[in-house]
Amino acid sequence: MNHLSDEQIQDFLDGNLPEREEEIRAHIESCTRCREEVDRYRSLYLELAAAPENALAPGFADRVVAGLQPEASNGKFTVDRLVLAAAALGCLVTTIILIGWEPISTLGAGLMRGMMSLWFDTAGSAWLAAHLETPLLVAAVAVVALVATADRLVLKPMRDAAVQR
Amino acid sequence: MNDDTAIVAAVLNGNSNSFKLLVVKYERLVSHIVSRLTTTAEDREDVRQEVFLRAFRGLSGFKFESKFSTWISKIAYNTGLNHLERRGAPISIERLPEVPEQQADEAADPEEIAVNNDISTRLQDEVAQLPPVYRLALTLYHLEEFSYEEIADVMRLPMGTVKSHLFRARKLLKERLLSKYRREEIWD
Repeated sequence: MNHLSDEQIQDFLDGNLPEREEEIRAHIESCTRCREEVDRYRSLYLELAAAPENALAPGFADRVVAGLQPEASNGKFTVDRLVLAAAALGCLVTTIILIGWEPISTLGAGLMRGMMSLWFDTAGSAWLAAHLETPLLVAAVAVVALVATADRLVLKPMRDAAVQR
Repeated sequence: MNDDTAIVAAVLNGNSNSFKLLVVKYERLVSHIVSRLTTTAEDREDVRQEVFLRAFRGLSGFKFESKFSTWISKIAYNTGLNHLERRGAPISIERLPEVPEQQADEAADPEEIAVNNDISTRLQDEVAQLPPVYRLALTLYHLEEFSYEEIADVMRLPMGTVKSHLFRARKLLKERLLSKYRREEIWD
């Protein structure tokens, strides 16, 4: 067997040559030059695995967590949570409207009339309110729910992935 | 359910104090990675804090498709690279520097040898001169006992490239130590 190359020695020490292990061990036993070279690499491996610890700054974990507190509490008001809250409210209102609970329907109609009066004259507002108020409210709520769902399923994973980049 | 799963679940349920457990558990790993990609103690502290802040923000995106150590190592690596880019430090490593021509018998003078009289110190000096990506591959493999696959995942490199980095870095270290110091002073 020829002398072992640097690559063969490293592969042997890394355990990448299980099928040739006995052959290589036998060669190392009989070849002084290869044995010395293997010993040098062994020493190098041991030293690399025992590299001195980087001094960890005392109290580091406490400082990290303290830095998170404002972020964690601010999290209550993040866009994520607001959108989710709007979606939940939207789903609740839509359900109530769909089952036809009169107080909510009346309140919804009143809100819709109020909003539409900002945009249309009285006659137009009354016509729209009479014909479109419930479907419009339902549509608006559906849009909010749709946006929230899209945010949760598509945009949020993209934001999370961006954090890792 | 392993510990990490329970801790991540607690943090995601709003218990941000539980995040401290993850910081304590992975501080050493993050510190090793960051120290290979930064030069001053102040930078190291800042980058380490940024790593954990990013991990906290991105925690809901962690789906346990890999080990938590691999996931946070990726964040540490990317944050460290961003830091190097901001500092204008070279990142690409097409080739390692050549081994010095100096022969063993012309090694450093005795005073220098006396000061750096143990292999650990000498080796750390030599490792510090390697390009950051080589330093990091050595650290992850030998110190953190990551597999080739895990290192490839963290550093976004083909596995063959990881093996090649490790092989070339170790060969270079061995040759540099032999060329700078008398053989018997190091290995015997």
